[in-house]
Amino acid sequence: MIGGMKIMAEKIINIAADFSRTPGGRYRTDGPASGEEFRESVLIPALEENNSIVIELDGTRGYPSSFLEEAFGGLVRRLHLSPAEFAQKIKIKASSAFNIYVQDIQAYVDQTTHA
Amino acid sequence: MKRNHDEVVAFFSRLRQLSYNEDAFSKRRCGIDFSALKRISPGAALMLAAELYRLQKFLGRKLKAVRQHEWDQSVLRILHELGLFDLLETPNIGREDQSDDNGRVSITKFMVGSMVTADKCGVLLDSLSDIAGAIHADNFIYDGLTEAIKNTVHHAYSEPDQWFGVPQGTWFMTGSYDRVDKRLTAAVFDLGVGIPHTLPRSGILEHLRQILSLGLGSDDGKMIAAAMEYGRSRIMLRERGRGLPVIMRLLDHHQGYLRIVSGKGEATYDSLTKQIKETSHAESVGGTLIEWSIKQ
Repeated sequence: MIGGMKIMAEKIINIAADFSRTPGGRYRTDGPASGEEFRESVLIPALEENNSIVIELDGTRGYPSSFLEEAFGGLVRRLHLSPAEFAQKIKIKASSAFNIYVQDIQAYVDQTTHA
Repeated sequence: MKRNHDEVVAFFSRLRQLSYNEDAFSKRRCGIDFSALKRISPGAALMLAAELYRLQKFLGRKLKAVRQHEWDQSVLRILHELGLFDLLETPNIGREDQSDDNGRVSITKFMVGSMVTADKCGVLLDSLSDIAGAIHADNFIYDGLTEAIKNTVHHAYSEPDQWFGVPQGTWFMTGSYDRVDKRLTAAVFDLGVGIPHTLPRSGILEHLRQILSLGLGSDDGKMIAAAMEYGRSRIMLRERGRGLPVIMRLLDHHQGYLRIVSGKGEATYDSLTKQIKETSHAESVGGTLIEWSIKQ
């Protein structure tokens, strides 16, 4: 607390360390470490406690497309976010080896909001 | 299997006929004897494991490998590494490697599942690293494998009245490494209805018909090839259409091929030529085999 105002920090989430090194399918019913599970148990709680979050993609085995779509496209649907709001709340960090997934996430966000 | 597709498929077709239509294994004492087999590819070995897995479920008992001292040593070693003898009643066969091929090709123990258990894809990559060294394409292989098992779980067993003999969504997976060619292979197989049969359900048949100028009949090889081409050309498709591009993404970054054998069809995408070659065969493979092969 500074001057009676609560400072909301930017939280960093590394998917490999904080969730799973082997991201799975779309829904919880598909199996462990699904996109739905990541969205509901990690992304949304983190957004409730922080103004913005940084997601680090490096360190996993890779990302199934349905995991990314359900986690990030699903987040846009669930919270009714515009692309600008998504960009304001969520920053995606990745090395060059994982940069392709940043493009995938952006495509899912754009498709979802433009649908 | 790439060299002798028709013979391999005919063998499996006959095995299914004997097993499930003529109930041959229930009526008499039978053993598994592959002394006549001189060579087996990783893809065919995975199909064999899947078929014996189903057969043993059908019979409710395990089968024995017999006359193993007469088997070709390289075949024996491949099937041992695959874990086939752990599946059978004779797990100790092949433990002492007497291979005469200096272990040119190593294969990982096959895995089976019926959910999108992506951690098993991670285990496969670890096993592949053990035999091939560091894998520089591991995230793309991982993405392809998980995408393939996801498609199996969601679509491969979509015919409610058909007998499959395994739980809905069952997939089989393995990987291999050829030390001479420095070639890495990963494969997923299922015993489902086949991709050409599931395409109408994913709503793209009409588009494929336009591409292929298909009549009411269809050609399995052309259907698989068109689905590959469709996936690549429609990168902005919503979720469903992203499966094949992800399965093919590995080939955007590494020299090799993706081969899909499904139903009576077969299509191979070559990363060098960027061409898809398709063939249709007389008999169905009895499921879908997806195989990635890249140069390390």
